[in-house]
Amino acid sequence: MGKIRAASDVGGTFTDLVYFDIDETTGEVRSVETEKAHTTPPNFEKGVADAFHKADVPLQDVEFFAHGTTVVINALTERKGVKTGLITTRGFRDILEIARGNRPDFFNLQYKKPAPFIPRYLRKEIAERISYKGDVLQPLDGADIDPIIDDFKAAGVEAIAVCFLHAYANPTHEIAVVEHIKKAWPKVSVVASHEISREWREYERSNTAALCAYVQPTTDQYLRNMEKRLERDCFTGSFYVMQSNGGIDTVASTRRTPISIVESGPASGVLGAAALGEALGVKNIIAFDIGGTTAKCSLIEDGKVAITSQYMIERSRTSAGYPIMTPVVDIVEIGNGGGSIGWVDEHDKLHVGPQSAGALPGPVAYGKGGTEPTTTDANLMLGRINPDYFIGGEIQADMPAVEAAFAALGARLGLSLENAARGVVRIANNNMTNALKLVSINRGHDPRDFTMIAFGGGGAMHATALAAELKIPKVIIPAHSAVFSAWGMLMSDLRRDYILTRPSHVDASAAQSINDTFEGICREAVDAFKAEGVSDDRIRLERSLSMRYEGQEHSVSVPVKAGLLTEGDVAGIIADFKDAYEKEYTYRLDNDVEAVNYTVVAFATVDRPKLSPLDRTGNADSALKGTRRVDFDPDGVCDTAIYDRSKLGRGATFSGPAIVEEAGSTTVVYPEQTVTVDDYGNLHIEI
Amino acid sequence: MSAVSEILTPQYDPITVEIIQSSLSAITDEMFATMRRTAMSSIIYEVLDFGVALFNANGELASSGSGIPGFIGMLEPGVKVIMEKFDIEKHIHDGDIFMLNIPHKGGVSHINDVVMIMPVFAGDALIGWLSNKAHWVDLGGAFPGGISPDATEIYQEGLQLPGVKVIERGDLNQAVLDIILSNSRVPETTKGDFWAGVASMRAGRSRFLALVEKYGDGAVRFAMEDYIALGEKIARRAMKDLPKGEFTAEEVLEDGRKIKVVITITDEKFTVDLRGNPAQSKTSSLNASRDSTFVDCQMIFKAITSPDTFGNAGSFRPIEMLVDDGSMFAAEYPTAMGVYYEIAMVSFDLLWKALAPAMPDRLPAGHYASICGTFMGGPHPETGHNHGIVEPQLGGWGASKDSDGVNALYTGFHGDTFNVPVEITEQRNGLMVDRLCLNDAPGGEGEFIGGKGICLDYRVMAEDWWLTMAYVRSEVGPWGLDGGKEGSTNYVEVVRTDCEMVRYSACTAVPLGPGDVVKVFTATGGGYGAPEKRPLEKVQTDVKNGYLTQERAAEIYGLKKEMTAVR
Amino acid sequence: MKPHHQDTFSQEIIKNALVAIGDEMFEAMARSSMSPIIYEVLDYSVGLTDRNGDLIAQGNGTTVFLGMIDALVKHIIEKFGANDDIHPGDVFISNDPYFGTHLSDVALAKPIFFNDALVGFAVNKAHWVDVGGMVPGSFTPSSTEIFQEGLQIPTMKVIDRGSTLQSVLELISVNIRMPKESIGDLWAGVAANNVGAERLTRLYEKYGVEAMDTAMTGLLDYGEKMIAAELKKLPNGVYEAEDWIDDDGHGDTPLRVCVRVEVSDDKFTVDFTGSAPQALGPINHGRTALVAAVRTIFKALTNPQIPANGGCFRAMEVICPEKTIFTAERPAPVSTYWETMLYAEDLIWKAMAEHLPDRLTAGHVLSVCAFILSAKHPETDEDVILVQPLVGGWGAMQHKDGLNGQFSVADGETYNIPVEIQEARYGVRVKQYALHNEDGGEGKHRGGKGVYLDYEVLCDEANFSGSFGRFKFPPWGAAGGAKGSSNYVELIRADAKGGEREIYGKPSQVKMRKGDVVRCVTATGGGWGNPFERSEEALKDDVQNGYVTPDQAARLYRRPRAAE
Repeated sequence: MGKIRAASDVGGTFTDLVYFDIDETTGEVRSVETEKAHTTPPNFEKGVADAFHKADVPLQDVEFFAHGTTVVINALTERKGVKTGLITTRGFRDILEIARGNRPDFFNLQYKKPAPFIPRYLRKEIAERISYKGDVLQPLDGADIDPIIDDFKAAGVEAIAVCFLHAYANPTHEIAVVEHIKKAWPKVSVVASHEISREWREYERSNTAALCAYVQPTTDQYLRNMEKRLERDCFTGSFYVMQSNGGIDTVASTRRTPISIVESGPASGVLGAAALGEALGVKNIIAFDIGGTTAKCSLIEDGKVAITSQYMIERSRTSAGYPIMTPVVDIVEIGNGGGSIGWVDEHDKLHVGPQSAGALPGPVAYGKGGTEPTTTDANLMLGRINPDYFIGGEIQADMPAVEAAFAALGARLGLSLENAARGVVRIANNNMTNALKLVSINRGHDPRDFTMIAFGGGGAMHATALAAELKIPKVIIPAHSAVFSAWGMLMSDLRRDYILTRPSHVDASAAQSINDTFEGICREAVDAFKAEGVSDDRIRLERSLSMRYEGQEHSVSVPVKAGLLTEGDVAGIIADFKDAYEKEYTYRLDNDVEAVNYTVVAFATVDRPKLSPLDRTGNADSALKGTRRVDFDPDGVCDTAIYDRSKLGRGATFSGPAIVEEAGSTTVVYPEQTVTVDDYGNLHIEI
Repeated sequence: MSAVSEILTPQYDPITVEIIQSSLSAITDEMFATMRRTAMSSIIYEVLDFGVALFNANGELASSGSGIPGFIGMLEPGVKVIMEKFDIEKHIHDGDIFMLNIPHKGGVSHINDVVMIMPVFAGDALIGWLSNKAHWVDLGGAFPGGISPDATEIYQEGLQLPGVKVIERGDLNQAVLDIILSNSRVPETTKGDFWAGVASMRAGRSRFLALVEKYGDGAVRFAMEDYIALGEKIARRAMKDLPKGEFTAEEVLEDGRKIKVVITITDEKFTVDLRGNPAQSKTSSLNASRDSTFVDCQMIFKAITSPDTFGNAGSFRPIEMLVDDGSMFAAEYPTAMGVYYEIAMVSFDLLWKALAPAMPDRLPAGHYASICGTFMGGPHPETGHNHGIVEPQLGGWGASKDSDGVNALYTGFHGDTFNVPVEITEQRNGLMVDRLCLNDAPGGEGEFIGGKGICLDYRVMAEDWWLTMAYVRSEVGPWGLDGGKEGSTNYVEVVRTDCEMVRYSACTAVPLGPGDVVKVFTATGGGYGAPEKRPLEKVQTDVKNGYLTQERAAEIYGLKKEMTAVR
Repeated sequence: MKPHHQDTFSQEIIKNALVAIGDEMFEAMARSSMSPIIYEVLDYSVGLTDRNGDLIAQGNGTTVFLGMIDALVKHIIEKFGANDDIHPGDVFISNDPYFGTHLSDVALAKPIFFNDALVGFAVNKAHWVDVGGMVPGSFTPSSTEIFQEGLQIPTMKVIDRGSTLQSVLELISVNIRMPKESIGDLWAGVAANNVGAERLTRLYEKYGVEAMDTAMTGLLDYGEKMIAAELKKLPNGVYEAEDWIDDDGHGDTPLRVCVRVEVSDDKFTVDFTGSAPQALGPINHGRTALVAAVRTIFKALTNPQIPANGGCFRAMEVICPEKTIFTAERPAPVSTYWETMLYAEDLIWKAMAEHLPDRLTAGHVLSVCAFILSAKHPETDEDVILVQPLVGGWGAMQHKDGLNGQFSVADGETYNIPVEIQEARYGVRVKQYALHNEDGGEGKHRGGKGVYLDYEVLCDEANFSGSFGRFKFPPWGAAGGAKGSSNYVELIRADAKGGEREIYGKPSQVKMRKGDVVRCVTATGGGWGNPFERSEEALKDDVQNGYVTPDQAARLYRRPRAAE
C-alpha cells in the first residue's frame, strides 16, 4: 500500500470514509475505496477511527485527511452551545432581539418570534461609534470593558461575541476589544464580527458573531478530540476540515471562526460535482443530491461553485429563522427524499414530504412497522427498485405491506394503488423540479446549457426524469455516487472567501479606488496563506465585484480580471454588469451604477491525485442481470433490461428503457435515453 | 415526455391538477422575488411594501405572493376595474400592461400604491391575469412623498393613473411613461421601479405560458377553478368551528370620533357591519377606500379560519361587508386617502378587538395597531442628492392566553417585511441612528405581558430636511384582554439642538436641521390576564433583563426588592 | 390658376394673408372654447411659425405669450425633429413652464405639411381653469416646487398621425379638476390649429412653394426693417431702473429687481444682472418668459402697430444670469410667474418713461390681480372655480390722465367677465364693481383709477386665493407725480365686529363662509407732474365726477393755505 489520501464525512447514522491509494512513483490513484462505520456520538472521533480500522488503513500512511462534520449545525439546532455574552455599540444591544421584525407566517396573528441566542442581561453596550465610511466618530475607552468582563464572569459566560456598527468598514474597535479581553481573560473564547464577515447589516452580522461564539468552545473540543485520536494512531499527515464554502481549510483557521463549517456536509457534495466536472471537462453543472429526507441542488457555472452569504438556519414558512453571514455554497434544499412520506390532507390533496419516515420505521418496505408510503416505496411499486436487491440486498422489501399502503392512499384519492404510487413519484418529482428551477431558470440560467450530476442515495433514481422535464441534455451518475460527498473532499483545495462591503459610485474614474480596495483584500488573503507556509505558486485568487443600479439593494456579481484595472477595464466591468443584469431581469437602465461588495476568493491548491481509468472493460451485455416490468410513468410500463453497475466496463453503451443497479442506489433510464460508461466508471446519460 | 398522462383515468387527474396548483404559487413566488431584486426603493425591497398575484380569466384571485397579507385581497378588484373599463375582445391584447392607482375607483389603497395589470393569453384566448402592486416613492403632488395627513383631495396627492395602457402589445407607450416620470420628484427611482414591475410580470407570464404549454390550457383553467373552490372549501370547513353569534366593539379615535363594528358569524356567513360610522374626513387624508376596508375583513377572517393555508378568491367568499359610502371606511372621490393605512389599521384593530375575547386561541390582545409610517427627506450630507426614508415602524404585539406578546414586530398588516438596517440607513440617507432598542415604557402588564415596541432615534446631519408622519394609538394604548393591562402609545418626539422638544402624533413637513433628533417611540402591546397571576420568577427575569423596573415590578406584581438580589 | 411669380403685388397679398391667419385662428378658438377665461377673458394666444419655428403671425389675447409660440416650436423641432418624428396629422401638447409660462397654460402645436414637406406650425396656448395640483385653479402663492402646481405635460404628442393617444388624453383628464371644460378647450385648440393649417396650405396651393417661402422670409425681413427704422428714433444711451417685488409669498422680505437698458442705433440690449435669485415662492419664471416680456415692451417702444413676427426682435438682446427670479430652473415654482414678468416689462418702462414721454405713461396697476374663488354653486351644488384677472388704473402721461380700469399691460386684448355671466355661472353675488377713490396717483395729470370688486359668497364654504402684486410698492409716479395706490384684497366678514381690517396681498386658500364679502382692490396708476400744477377746470371736473373728493382736492392738489 502506498500513500493514502482519505476523507471522512460524519453523518447522522453513518460515518463515510473514502480513500485513494496513491502510487508514490506515478502519483496516480491505484484504487478508490470506501468504508462505512457507525457514527458514535458524542465521541465522533471514535466513529472515524473505526472506519479506518474497518478499512484496515494504517493512519501513519495517511498523508492527507479531510474531515466533514455536522458538529456546528448540531450544536446550533440542539442548542448545545455555551453561555454567551455580546458586546455591542451603545444604543444597540436589542438589535439581536429586534432582528428584522418580519413575520413570514403572515396570516397568523399568534406568531412567535425566534428567541435570541443571547439573553438581554448578557448583551452589553460600549460607548464607541464608527461611521459608514469607517471614520471614528467616538473613540473607544478600554476601561469600559472591564466591568463588562466582571459581569460576564459572574454570570458564568464562556464565550463572547463582539459586534460594533460599521465594523465592516473599520474593525479597529472590535480588534481593540478582542485584544483587551484576551489579555484580561485568556480562558474565555471570543470572536468579533469582522473576523467572520466584512459585509453590512448589523443584525445579520451580530447574530453571526453570536452564533459563532456560541459554538466555538464545543467545536474546539471536538477538533481537539479528533486531533488527539489521530495522533494516538500515529497520524502525521495534514488534517483539513471541510468548509461551507466548498473548500477545505486548516484546523487552526477553523478554530478561529467555526461557524464557517456550518454547512460542511452538503457543501462537499457540490464540491465533488465541481471536481468531477473539472476532471471530465464539464464546466456548467447542476449538482443534485437526493438523500433520505431532503433533496439539495446547486448550480456550478463555468466551473465556479455558487456562493451566498445570505444563509439562514431554521427559516421556514412559519419562522423567520436566524441569518448566518458566512460564505456558504448556494444550495436550495427541499424536504423531499427517499424517505419522504406521501400523505393526503383533509381536503384530499396529495402531498409528499417534508415529513420523513427517517431511519425508523423507515419506508414501509423496511417492514419495521412503517405504514405511510414513502417515495422509496413508490419506486418499489413501480418496479424501479428491485425488491430482491433492496439496499444492496441487505433487506427483502416487504411488498405486501407496500401495496397495502398505496391501496389505502389510493382509496383516499379514488385512484388505483399503481396510480397512487405514480402520483407520489410525480409530486415528488414536481417538488424537486421547482427546486431545480430556483437555482437555474429563476436566476436567468437556461438548463439546456447544463449537465446534471446526480448523487446521493436517490439521485440516480429521479435524475433522468427531472432532466427530461427541464430539458437538461445530459445526466452524469458518478461512480461511488453514494459516498460522493466524502469523495469530493479528496479533490478539494483550500478555499477562503473574503467579502468586503464598500458601497461606492462606479465610473471609469473609479479605477484607482477599486484597485486599492482589491489590492488590500488580496494582500490580506495572500499574507494569511503565506503565514501558514503556503508557497506563492500554490496561491490562486479570484476576484469579483457585486454591483447594482444606484438606489437598488440587491446586486449582481461580475468577475474581475487579475491585475491593475485601467479606466477601460472598469468601463468593461460596468458593461458586463449591465449585460448580466439584463440577462437576469430582461431590461437595462441608463442609471448610474454602484459597487457594493468586493469579493476575493483565495485558493491554496493541494496536489490532486490523477484519477486512473477503470481497468474493467466489457460491453453492456456482460453486465445484464435480466429483465423485469418497470413502470416509466407517464411513458408506460415496459419489459426492462436490468444491469449490474459493478460489471459495466468502460466504453459500454446501452439505451433505455433500462435500470442500473448498484449497492447504494438505482439508476432509472427512460425509453430512448442512452447510456455510456466513461473511463472512470461514471454513467453518462443522454436525455 | 408527453403532456398529460394517458394512464391516469379522469380527464384532469388529481395529481396533474395539484402539480399545476403548486406551480401557480411558484409563479407568484418568482414574480415576488424578481420585483424584490430589481426594485429601486427600500420601501419595496426591504419593507416589501408590494404584492403580486395571479388570477383566472374572470379576474378571480388564484394565487398570490406577498410580504404583506394586506395586499392579497387588494389586487382582485383592480383587475375587475380593467375588465369593466376595456372591452376584452377589442382593447385587451397579449403583451398589454395597464396601470392604475386611484383608490376610490377600485383595487387601490392610496395613490402611491401603483398597480400594474397584465392579461395572459393562451393563443388568442384570455387565460388569466397577472398583477403587481408596489409603493412608489413619489408621484408629485403637494407633498414630497405624496402622503400627508393634511391633504384634502386626491389632486394634491400626486399623479393619478386611471388604468391606462403603459405597454401595448409589448411596446412601451413612451408618452405615458414621460408623463409619469416628469411628474415624479425622483424620476430615476420611479423609472427603476416601473421596469422592476414589468420584469416581475414578464417573468410570471413566461412561467404561466410554460405551464399551459405543458398541461394544456384546459387543465390549467380547471386547476385554477379547482384551487379557488378548494380555498372556499377550506374556509367553510373552518367556519364550522367558529363560535357563532354577534360580536361587537367600539373605539374612540384620537379626535374624539366614535367608531363601532358588529360582526355576525353564522355557519355560512361572516358579516362585518361597519354602517353608522363617521363620514369621510374633508380636512385630512385619513380615509380608507371600500376595497381596503374589505381587506381588513379578509385578513381577520383568514386569521381566525385558516392562517396556515394559502389564500385566494375562494378563501374569502363567506365574507359580507356592510359599510356606508362616503364614510371614513368607504370614502368617495375625490377625497384624499394618503394616510388610508392608519384608518385600515383602525378598522382591522376594531374587528380584532371584537373577536379576540371569543377566540383566544387565534387572537392575542391588541397590538400597537399603527403602521407608524415615517417619512423623512433631505439632502445627503455627502452627496447633496435628495434622499428620504418612507418606513413603517416596528412595535409591540399583544399577549395571548398562553404566552407573552412578541417584541418589535411589524403590524398585522405586514408579513414577511423587513426593517431597514441601521448600517444601510446611515449610508444611504446620511442620517445617524443614535439608538435602536426596545421601548421599556410601562404598560401591557399581565399574567402574560405585551410585547415591546421600539425607540429609534434619527439624528439629522444636513440642512433642509423635513419630517412627515401620522401615527394612531397615540393617546390610548393597545387594549388588554382578560384583566391584562393596556399597552403604551405610539408617537414621535423632535428634539432640537437647543433641547427644545415637541411631541407629535401627526405632522407635515416639519423642517429639520443638523443635530435635530427625531425620536420614534412605538407602543407596548396589551397584556393578557391579571398581573397577579404572573409567576414571580418570570417577573424576576424581566427585571434582571431590564424589561421591567424594580419599582414597576413592586407596584404591579408586588415583587419585593430582596427577591431580585440574584444576578 | 397658375401660381403667380414673386411680383411684389402678390407678395403683399401673401403677407397680409399670412397675418390674417393669426386672426382667424384667434376667432376659431374663442368660438369653440368652453371656459369664459378663454371666450370672455381671451386669456390665450395663437400663432403661426415657419418651418424653423420663427414667428410669422400671431393673434393675441395676452401679450405675455408673445415669443412663447416660437420658443415651443423650436423645442418641438429639437426634441422630435431630431429623430424625424414629426408627421402630418401630429398634434403636440406641452405645458412645460420653463419653455413657457406656468402649468396652467397649455400649448398645442400642429405641424403643417404641403406636398409632404413641412412648411410651418400652427400653435395655440390657452389658460386652463385647472391642471390639478395642491389647490383648485392650480396657482397659489404657497407652492415651493413645480410638483405642487399641477400636472406636468412634457412636450409630447397627443395626436399621432391623426389618431388620438387615448391614454395620454385620459391621463390628462383624470388629473385636472375640471376635465369637461379643459378637454373641451383642448379640442378647441386643435380646431383653431386646423384652421391655421388649412389656410396656410391653401395659400401654398394658390401661390406655390417658391412664392410662399419668399413671402415668409420677406415678412420676417420686413419686420426687422421696420423695427430697425424705429430703433433709430429712440434716444441712444444707457437707462437704469430698480424696483421691489413685495415678497415671495413665504418670507416677508421684498426682492430687488433692476435693469440696465442700452439703446444704440441698431441694438437694444437689456441686462437684468443684479436682480434677486430664484425665489422659494411661485413668483419665478423661466428665460422664455423673460424674453417675451422684453419683446412686449420693446414692441411698445418701437412700433406698436406693425404685426409682430420673428424678424421684429432680431435687434433685441436680453442678458440675465441663470437662476434669478427672471430665469428660474426646474423644479422652481412658477404658478404666479406673471407678476414678475410684468416687473421685467415695468422696469424697462420705468427706465425709459421720462425719456419717451410721448410713448410711455407713469407706472400702472402692473399686477394682473388674478384670483381664484372656489365655491359650490348654490343652485346646482356643483364645484365652481372662478378665475379672472382684474382691471386697474394706468399711469398718467405727459399730456393726459391715465386710463381708468384697464387690464394690465400683460393682458393686452383681454376682457373682464361680465358680472351677469359671473353671477349666473358661479353663483356668487357681485355687490359692487366700481372705480375707487383711494389716495394716490395725484399729479398734473392723474393716474387712472383702480376698481373695487366685491363678491358675496352664497354657499356655505368657499376658498379664496390670489396674487395681488404692488401691495407694498404702489405704481411709480413720473416727473413729480404722486405714486399710485396699492392692489390688495380685503375680507369683510358677515360676523365682523369691526376692529382689525383683514387685508391681504397674496391670500392663499382663505376660508370664507356664507355672507362673507371679498373685496378685490386694484391700484390707481402713478401721476405725472406736480399735483399742484393740475388745472382748476380739470380738478373741478374731477370733483364733479367724484374722481377726486373735495377733501382730496384740498389735501393733495392744493398747497395748504397755512403755507402761504
